[in-house]
Amino acid sequence: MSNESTGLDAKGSARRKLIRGSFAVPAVLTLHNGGAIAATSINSSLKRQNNHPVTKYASSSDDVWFRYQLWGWVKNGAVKYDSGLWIKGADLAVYRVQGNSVWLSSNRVQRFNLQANSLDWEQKYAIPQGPDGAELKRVSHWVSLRVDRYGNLTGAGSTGTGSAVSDSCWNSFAAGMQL
Amino acid sequence: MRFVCSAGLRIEPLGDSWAAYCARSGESLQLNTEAAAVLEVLAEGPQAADEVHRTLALDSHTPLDIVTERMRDVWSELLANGLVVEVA
Repeated sequence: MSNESTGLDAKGSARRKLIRGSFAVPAVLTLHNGGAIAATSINSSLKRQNNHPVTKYASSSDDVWFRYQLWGWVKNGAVKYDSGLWIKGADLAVYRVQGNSVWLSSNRVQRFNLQANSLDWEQKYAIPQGPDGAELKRVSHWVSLRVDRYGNLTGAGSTGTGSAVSDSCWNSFAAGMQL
Repeated sequence: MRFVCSAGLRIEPLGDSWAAYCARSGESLQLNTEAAAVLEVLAEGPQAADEVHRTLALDSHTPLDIVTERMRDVWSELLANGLVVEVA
């Protein structure tokens, strides 16, 4: 991330202000609870997004869209695409808030087809074993998750009803619903 | 494990402290100078926690073990607030 994009001084203004010999515990305080406001406007924001649904392709890096980093088998630094890229239902359990549903159960996994930008139809209980010596790891492919107007996770890529949504939309919503 | 500032993060001086807007969470946050310094170091690119601790120790002329101790619970907080993300 560039300094220009964060607004941080390229010369390190915060670092220059550190008091010599006295490094305090870094503190992060919430100035303004976006979640509470999002909770009250969730219907309008998600409904509006679902009135004009969008589909996002997979990205090689995380961005401001609500995405999931896929799992894959990696050997000697190379992703073994023949063994598939996968979504674990257990990873999505955190989004099951206030009765909202997630299309993939916590004990299931589902393969994602990067070329088609869609989920394979079959859900499995475990990711099939990859090549000998390969390791199951998060890989550099992020897929967008789809959310319907009620906040249910319905799928990924182009699979599922609803729409791709931004991180701030979904995360504020989730935080607001847990208040 | 390496960390980097999350996409869409904005930080501006706010008096003696710092204001941050995190696009990932949609939250506005107030940071002290130490927290802003952590993000400033990470704005230069992905780094391991140990590397960040060493840089901050040098910048603040504070022994590394003290910086490491004071940073112990901070990484989880930065992650939870969406200010930083883990990268491979």
